Amino acid sequence: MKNSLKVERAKLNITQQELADKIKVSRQTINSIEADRYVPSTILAIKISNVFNTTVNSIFDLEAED
Amino acid sequence: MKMTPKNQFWLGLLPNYFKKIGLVISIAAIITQISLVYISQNEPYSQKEIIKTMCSSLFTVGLFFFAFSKEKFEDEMNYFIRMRSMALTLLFVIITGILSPILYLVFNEVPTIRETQRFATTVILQYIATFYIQKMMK
Repeated sequence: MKNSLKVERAKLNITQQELADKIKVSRQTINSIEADRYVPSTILAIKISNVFNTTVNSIFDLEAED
Repeated sequence: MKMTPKNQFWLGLLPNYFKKIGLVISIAAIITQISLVYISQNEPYSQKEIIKTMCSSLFTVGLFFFAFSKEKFEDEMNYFIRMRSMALTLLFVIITGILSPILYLVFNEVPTIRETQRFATTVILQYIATFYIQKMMK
């Protein structure tokens, strides 16, 4: 699964820590999601999309091997 | 993040301050065991053995507190890493369980209480190592 979290974050100009505080996870979790080392749960994905006021699909997308 | 009971099984972890308590207990047990060699040279052998066993048990209890207490920030990724560490530790236990009788046979030894204690300590240490290595890699 690929994601455009870093891009979305840059658009809103917020840091990993600020995003982490908003959705109540650790900064390490945000970093892992951005680096594709961790796939978030549906709940977390929805929370992230809510912060950016967009849909889950526009941030997270499936890859061919998924 | 608040644990969601629907897909995250309640682990009943101890509060975060148990990490410090566990470390203090483990370090105190190690120091006592090391100092025992120098202090109680005149003590009878059986008494030394009792203290040694007690220290080993305390060390294991300390490690247990350290391993099974919450991190400062518990979220779903932590939960995921914890679950994977537990699975890997279980695999380690199964492999050890299969191999140890063969090793005892090869070396012609009989398992003792101390061996069981060492096994418990190794399992907890294995869990702690797996958990923190995976956390560092994330």
